[in-house]
Amino acid sequence: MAASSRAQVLDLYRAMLRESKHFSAYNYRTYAVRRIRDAFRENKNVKDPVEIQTLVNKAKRDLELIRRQTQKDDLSTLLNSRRT
Amino acid sequence: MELEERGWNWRLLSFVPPPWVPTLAAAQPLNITLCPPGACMRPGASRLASVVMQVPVTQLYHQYRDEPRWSLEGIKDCVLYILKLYDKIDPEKLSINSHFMRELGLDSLDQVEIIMVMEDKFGFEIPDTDVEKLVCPQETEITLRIRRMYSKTLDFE
Repeated sequence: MAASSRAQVLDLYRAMLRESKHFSAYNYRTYAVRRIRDAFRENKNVKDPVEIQTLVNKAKRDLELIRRQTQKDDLSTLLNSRRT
Repeated sequence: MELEERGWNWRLLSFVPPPWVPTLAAAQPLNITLCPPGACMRPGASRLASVVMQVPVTQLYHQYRDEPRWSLEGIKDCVLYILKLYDKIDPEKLSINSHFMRELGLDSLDQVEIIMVMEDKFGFEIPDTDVEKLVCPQETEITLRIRRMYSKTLDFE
């Protein structure tokens, strides 16, 4: 169980960093990357499996959030550019 | 790309020289205006001018692109140069076979970040299953060379 959750955490880290690069605003982009790095490092030494699972679930929800927001950014840029 | 400023020296990283002129890059300090190859496909007139001034005439590049060709030998120098810009790595201890975790004292999160920067700089995606195995610069370089050889994008021949 520990091995698969370790791999899962690293995959989440990579996926979140990748998705964060797609923000079109510099502020959101840098904040997201900074926050992801800090949060993963801060919780690096957590040992309790229940707590690990809670944190992993939170990370998955945040990943979905980033995905929704980056898609929304692309869509709104497209719509705004066509309005004029 | 812009990862957080601490951890990587991003101004220097954006001036990573193309891998086929490593000696020129060592000779010229970092006020050259070369852009990272493979990072984008934008044409750039100023970049072209600076490249033309510094490159010997015999090493011309493809006539229809303004970016120089990648070479397999230069990939190793490029990988090491990028790793030197990471401030958690001690440049004296860094060599082609230094293990990230044992010798350089990095952890798996750092290794993920390093591989992501490599992917961005060289323009390749490395699948998640392979990333765990890339624990020293030698393996990274081998993977990048294999990808480059099998790459079907227009940048490479």
